Amino acid sequence: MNKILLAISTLVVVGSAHAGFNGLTWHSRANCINNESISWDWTTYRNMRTLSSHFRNGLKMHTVEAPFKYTWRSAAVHYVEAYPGAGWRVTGEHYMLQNNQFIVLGYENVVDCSIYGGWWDFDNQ
Amino acid sequence: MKIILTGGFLLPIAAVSFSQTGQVDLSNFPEPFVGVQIVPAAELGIPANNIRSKQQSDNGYIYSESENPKYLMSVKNRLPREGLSKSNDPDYFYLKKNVGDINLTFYYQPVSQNNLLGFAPVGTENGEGWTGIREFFDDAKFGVCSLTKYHIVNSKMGIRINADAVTYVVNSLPTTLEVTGSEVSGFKYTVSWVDSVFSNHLECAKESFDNDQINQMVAFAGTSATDR
Repeated sequence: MNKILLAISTLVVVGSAHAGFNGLTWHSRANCINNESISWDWTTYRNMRTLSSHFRNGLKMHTVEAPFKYTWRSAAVHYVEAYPGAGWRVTGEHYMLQNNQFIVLGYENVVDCSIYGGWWDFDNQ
Repeated sequence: MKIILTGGFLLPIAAVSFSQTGQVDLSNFPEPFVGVQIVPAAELGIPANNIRSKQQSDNGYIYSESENPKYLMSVKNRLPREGLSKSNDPDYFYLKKNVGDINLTFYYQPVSQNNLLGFAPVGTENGEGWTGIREFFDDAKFGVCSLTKYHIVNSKMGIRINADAVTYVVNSLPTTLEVTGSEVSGFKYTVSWVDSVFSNHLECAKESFDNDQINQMVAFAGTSATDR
């Protein structure tokens, strides 16, 4: 039940749902009230780690880390850090350790709030 | 060896270079290693002869009370529904009936015949489309299964495989096998392999343990699920 509530609140409140209901997805967003990098998969617990580095005016301000944890959602989020248009840049790095494979799932370098396939920007497909 | 095994290392993001003025050189933003490496277990922080590998070897599975088998089996609760579009299911809560319902960055040929449950996007949406796909199907012998493919380059994915665990049983490609679960929680069988384009994961879940199922899944992967 807690997992369901968290998923729903995540979707409604901060809008970081990104199709992970049926498989592993990951993304980063900047200037989205939050600056964030998130991996999640409602169908599987696995070992995941996420790094989210936040830059402003060309300077790296800090890196937020969600350390390795056996979880369905790995979220490196700095809440209420960046209002829309605030000029932040976010780089995200997503890790997974599963079935004797250590995988860097992906890497993003973003400056906006878009989730192209999610509710936030679904007309962009 | 058909696969590309590239050199190099996974570069930490902290390796961002700064100019003399302290400004980040965004034109030279470093990105992590993309590709596949086979590396010793110690480099992955995995102790040799660890209890998981011993259980897998001795018992055929790793004991686990994880909910993962049941979560995979519960995908039947999210089967495709008629009339759903991007506007009223933009988060893909329900599976998609047709692979064409998902905007992919690559061509994908489904593997299911008459036992398809549906499709879901995985990976990331890079502005041009999704970098991965997961196809669910119901197999009379294997249980509820999925084949997940991540496009390595489009995902910017770097994969390091434990040299102590790697086999080459799926079409001579680097492969790892894992069975986890218990009589209480059910069992999840996983065959993971990499080819020249994709990171592939064939997963099946069912209530009972079958010592030969993982080998049968390897055969299925080799004949039906590679180079698509």
